[in-house]
Amino acid sequence: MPDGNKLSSDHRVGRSIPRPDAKDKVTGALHYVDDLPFDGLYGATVRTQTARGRITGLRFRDGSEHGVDWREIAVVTAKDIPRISKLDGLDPNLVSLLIRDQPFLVRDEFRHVGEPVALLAHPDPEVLRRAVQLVEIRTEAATAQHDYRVPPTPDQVQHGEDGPDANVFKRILVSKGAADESAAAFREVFDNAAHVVAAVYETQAQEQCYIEPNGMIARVEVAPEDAEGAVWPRKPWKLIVEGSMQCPYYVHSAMTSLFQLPDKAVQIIQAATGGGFGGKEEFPSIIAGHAGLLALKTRRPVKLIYDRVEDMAASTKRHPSHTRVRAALDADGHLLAIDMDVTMDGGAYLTLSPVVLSRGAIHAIGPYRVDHVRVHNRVTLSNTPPHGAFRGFGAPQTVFAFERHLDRCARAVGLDPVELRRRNLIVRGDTLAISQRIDEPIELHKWMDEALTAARYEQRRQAHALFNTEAEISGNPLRRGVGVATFMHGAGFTGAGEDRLASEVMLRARVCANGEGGVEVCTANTEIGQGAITVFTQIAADALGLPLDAISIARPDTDQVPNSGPTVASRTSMVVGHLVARASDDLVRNLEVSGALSDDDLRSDPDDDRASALSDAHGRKYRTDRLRRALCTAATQESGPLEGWATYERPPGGQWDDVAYKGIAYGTFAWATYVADVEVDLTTFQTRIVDFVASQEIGRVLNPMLAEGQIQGGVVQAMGWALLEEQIYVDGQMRNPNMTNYVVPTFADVPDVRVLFQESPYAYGPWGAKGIGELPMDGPAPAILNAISSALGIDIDALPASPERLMRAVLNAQAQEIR
Amino acid sequence: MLRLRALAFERPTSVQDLTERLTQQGDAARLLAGGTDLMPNLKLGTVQAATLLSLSALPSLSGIRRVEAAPLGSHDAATPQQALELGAATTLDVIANHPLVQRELPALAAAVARIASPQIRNRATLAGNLCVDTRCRYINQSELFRVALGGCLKSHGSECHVVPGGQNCVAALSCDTAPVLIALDAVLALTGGADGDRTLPLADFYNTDGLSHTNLRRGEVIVAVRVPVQRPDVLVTYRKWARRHSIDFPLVSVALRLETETHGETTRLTGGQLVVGALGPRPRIVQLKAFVGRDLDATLATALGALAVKRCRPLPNLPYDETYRRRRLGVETQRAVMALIVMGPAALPARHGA
Repeated sequence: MPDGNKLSSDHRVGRSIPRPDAKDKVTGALHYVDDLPFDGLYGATVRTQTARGRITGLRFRDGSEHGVDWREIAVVTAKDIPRISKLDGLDPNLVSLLIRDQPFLVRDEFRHVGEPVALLAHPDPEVLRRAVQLVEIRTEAATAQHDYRVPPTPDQVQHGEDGPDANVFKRILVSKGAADESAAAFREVFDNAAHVVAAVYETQAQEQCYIEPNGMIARVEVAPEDAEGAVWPRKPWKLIVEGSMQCPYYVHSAMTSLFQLPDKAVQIIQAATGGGFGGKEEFPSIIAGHAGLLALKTRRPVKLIYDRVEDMAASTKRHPSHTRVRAALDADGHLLAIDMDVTMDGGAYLTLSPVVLSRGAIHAIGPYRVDHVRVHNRVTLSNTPPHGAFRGFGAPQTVFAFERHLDRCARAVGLDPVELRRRNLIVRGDTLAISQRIDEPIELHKWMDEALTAARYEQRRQAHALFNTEAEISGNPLRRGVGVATFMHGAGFTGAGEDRLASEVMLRARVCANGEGGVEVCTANTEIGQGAITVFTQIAADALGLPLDAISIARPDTDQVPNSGPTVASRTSMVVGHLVARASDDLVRNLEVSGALSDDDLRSDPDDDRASALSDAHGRKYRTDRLRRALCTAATQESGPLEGWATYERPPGGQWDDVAYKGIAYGTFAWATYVADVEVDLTTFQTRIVDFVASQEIGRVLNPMLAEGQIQGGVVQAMGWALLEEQIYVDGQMRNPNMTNYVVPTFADVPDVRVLFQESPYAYGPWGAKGIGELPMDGPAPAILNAISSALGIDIDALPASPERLMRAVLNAQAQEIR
Repeated sequence: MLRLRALAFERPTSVQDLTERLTQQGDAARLLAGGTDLMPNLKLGTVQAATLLSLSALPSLSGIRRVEAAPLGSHDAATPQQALELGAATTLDVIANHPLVQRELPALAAAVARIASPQIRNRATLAGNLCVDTRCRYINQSELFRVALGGCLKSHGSECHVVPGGQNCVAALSCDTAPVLIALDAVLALTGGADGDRTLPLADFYNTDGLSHTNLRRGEVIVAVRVPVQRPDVLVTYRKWARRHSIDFPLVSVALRLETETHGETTRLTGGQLVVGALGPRPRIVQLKAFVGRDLDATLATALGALAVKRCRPLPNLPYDETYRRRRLGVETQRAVMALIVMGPAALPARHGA
């Protein structure tokens, strides 16, 4: 960083700029997809009702009694989709993702309850609702696999050949040290260790619970001669889809594949989106495809909006996990070796599971120095709706297992859990389990101590020990505990993922409403409540030296904006924000080249030492009035508005080896220590979180209000996972697909979450910023469960720590004591 | 988004007009006041209706006033009693924050303040809460789910999934006001039925049929709820457990009434009842006659906790482990007794004398 840590008072970054989109959201002026003016048909989805089988036929029962006339209802089934794509020879009915296994519409075999079989469209949603119930799906049942943890019987195999890899979507092995040599060498480390500690940990599925359910509107533009007749037009045609989504270009690629259209013939537009959390990463492609198929068949606009129940029952959730951990330690509590076995539940189709598993594998051992490591990871099939992207993306599962295990190790060795962590945290120059050397100036010990001081960890620990002793003597049912989790999260795509994305950002000169020159920022990254619009505005304003009102953010529309990659993986501020700053630089250079700016327009202040967004910024700063005038001219030039571009370039450093699972997985990590203080009532087994401190190093805080809000929101979402949220499945059918019976926390259930930031700028984020979107999902569950386990003196190893689960654990422990 | 199906909307301008329309249309019409229970149920399809009869033009149904009423409760029938009359359409927020309710019926004010959330209490009404539809983990679901399950007694089916082979719907009354109001001897003022105006103790308002769990007759509406102001030696409290602290139905719900007399240092029980909600379609009323003469102390708390566990067996009708709920009911009952012991008759003003 050329200018060190300091931001001057001129900067817009580093300040709590209010959201430009806030007013329209709270006044209702903003249109979400279901609010958009619409004159067309409604769509609905007919779904399977059992977990596995083969469809033998569909019967459309007479609906005259219910006001349903089948002649008025458009019906689309898999039969309407060709079996072979004109583009690539593959089956276009299979969603184009990592592999193609999930159908848009079931052709014959199906693998989960709620799988789409037929699509209906009609002008009246009420008629449609009744019509859906009149469709009878005739099936032949097949044996479903309901437990992802056990190997399938031969009749349950649905992915791969019968054998050890049956129903295994992906295996990943992380290994280091003796584990790289031989199994015998690795075993020897355990044989010679002073302590060997083993246990099993489990986590459950979690629903994203965005406020706005999924929904899409699709329209088709066909040549006049194709206005009627066959489903598939003969002349070139265009598909336009608008809706709730995180990743317009993911939907775009899925639509070109399903409809076998050239890129230019598909236009995807993001409508205002009420939250995503990963739930609108891959799944919206399916809804867009469904709406598009109905629009194509009817040649009318079709709106397909899920209600909450349908959204919860049919769409993706967090992967459940089962993890066995074995740790070898020396007598002083140094970790010698870790042997870990992670199994995740992928659900019925592969979707993004291998990538989720990968992030889980890479984050499994956290920021600790362990010389000998073996982590077996696999994700397997079960007959539930596919599990998919959700904030944290595999890391919360493995971080939970490992951080819980460290507390168990501490007890075995006879150390305080914090002291055990202190003895094993990495320092600069150490390598992670994936053999990535950390060369950035980290001070994990100091940052952890700052968190512990803020939380008054030591004082609480001592007070609670005394309190619990007294409580036991006096019969007081309350028990108190404090728990810690220390962890990290890598931002951006893993390994060469960002290279493959090759994200592009474009800035365009424009004339503002007041007639002055300004800039429009064009990215495909979506505002989903996290503050992307605000942060991009701040970054562009500071990179150019313009006031905030000179910056506008283009709506993500694939006809208008370049592909800057998906809005996922904590990458928007760090990766795309950096591109916004670089494109700003490029725009200024282009103004110089075009002659619109000259040396006369430079700022006269020679002492202007404002920190720059980029380590390689060209550093010429122009007077604001001159720059705005130049932009005004550049916006109205005959050849179209002047543009500035930036394309992703990999930061210098090593490579990632996707086979050996070694190397530079992420350019940087955010580092964190979370501390939870709890009180558990032994008569009700209810846990109250008394205090929570979330402390993290995130490079640079771009907007303190937004950053604090994002951390608090993530912590509360994780508190729900830790204590309350549970999906109940019976025979693959979700039994609580509504927000009355699937309970997420309210503000009455959580304490004030105290947020602390440390800043150690990262050279390839804007002003040093790192990504923080997912980080707060990783740490709360283990911190809280460590606190509960400490309070009870019993290890609680599965989520959620509901009163029911704690009751059974305590009663079991008492029964064993009596025996 | 859940969509509301097309409905007729009518806005009667007098109570008589209302009851006439209701008599005419029967079950096809539903009363709309706050709509916080009705509207989601209509959207989810667990309730069908052709017409909504809005109460918004009937201000006479709202408000709280002090009345002198002939006692209709089972206790102390000799002397006339002070009572509060709560209009049927009074919002829960008004009740929870009303100075008269807070002073004279603190247990009611506290129970009402635990219902749902501030936003819902701003809309929801007292009679709406008393008539809240019964709930069951099998009925409060999507249509897809109910259809896949083959329906149940409460939704176009013939099989109960809670009690296999059961012919009676056991969906639970998950309302927070009924237990505490029964414990307070509340009486309903009804109008519009075949017999015209009548009163009915709230304890007799519910039946054991989860499909139609109130004893309202065709065309009949609740006009007001009269709640006697309690003697200072009658102690009432309510305890609720839900998974979270806001916007949640009770999974364990218990109101406790202890009638006491105090001689010198000791306070003894002269009567009382335990009213347990969230079990089945009607609150379970357990009389405490067997405990008359017992001292109000920790032993009584333990005994009543054990009584609750013995006499009440939660069913798997609500979405939480019934073993835990049964145990928790004992704990909450015991805590209710302890809370009343701490409060004690002495804590009340001496103006009514002892």
